[in-house]
Amino acid sequence: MTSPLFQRICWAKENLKPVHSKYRVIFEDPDNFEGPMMVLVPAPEWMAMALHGGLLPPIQAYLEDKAVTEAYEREHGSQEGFKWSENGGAKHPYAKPIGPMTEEQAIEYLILKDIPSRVYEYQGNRTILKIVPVELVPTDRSYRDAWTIKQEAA
Amino acid sequence: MSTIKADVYGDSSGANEIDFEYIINGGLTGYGQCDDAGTSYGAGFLNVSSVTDYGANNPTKGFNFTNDYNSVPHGLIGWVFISEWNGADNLLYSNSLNADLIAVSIYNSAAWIDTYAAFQSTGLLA
Repeated sequence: MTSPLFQRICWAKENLKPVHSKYRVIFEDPDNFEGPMMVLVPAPEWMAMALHGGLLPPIQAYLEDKAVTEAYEREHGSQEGFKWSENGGAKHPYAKPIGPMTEEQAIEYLILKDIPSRVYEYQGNRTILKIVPVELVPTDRSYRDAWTIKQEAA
Repeated sequence: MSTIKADVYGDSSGANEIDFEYIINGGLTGYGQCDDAGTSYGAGFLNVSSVTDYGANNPTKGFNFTNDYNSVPHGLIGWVFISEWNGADNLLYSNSLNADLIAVSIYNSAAWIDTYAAFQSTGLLA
């Protein structure tokens, strides 16, 4: 019998060393192009679990759960007050874990898991999501709210 | 030097009291206490899959969890978020009340600062 995800996370704490990703994911919200660009930073502990394998559930489990939470958000305006106990229960804690991923596969997995679907499903002409080397993210945050994704000329 | 302090008190019995103090920039020091039994898990760190940096005016709402914290079997997860870029910005989320563990993370978009390891060595999350 597969142990629940939380138990596997606790095992990883004791047995895996964090892996710092060389990538960041930058993205914009298609519902708010006026807002600043966002930067997704993979957690080193999570990356270690992804590369190790046998710990994380399949992305499909997260996507099914995400569909539930996003539907709640559309209906209520936010996820405040959401409870899994009132919405059928979450699938991802009990799904059978998948094997090891490459770092690139892990980043793609993380995009699907942690970025709103409206971002990666966006069909417009604007580039609103990119995977970039960490070196391309400025360390000077003086003008943080002015950061945008550079649009290539057509 | 920025000094960050947070004191949170849980239920009336005080069983969930959490005291937290940290000094950033002037030296990598920290102090924390969580009286609940769950302090040994330290899964607050490991349970985060990523952090989304939303920008200078909204730096504190970006934790994404590996195991949705509403379904973590050991109760709520509280966390302290300290943004490296302004030091004084910290947030102890309301769900830290009754939390059975506290996660502390210091990072900026370009790099995770390994201070959580220092925190763990202090015993806060070890």
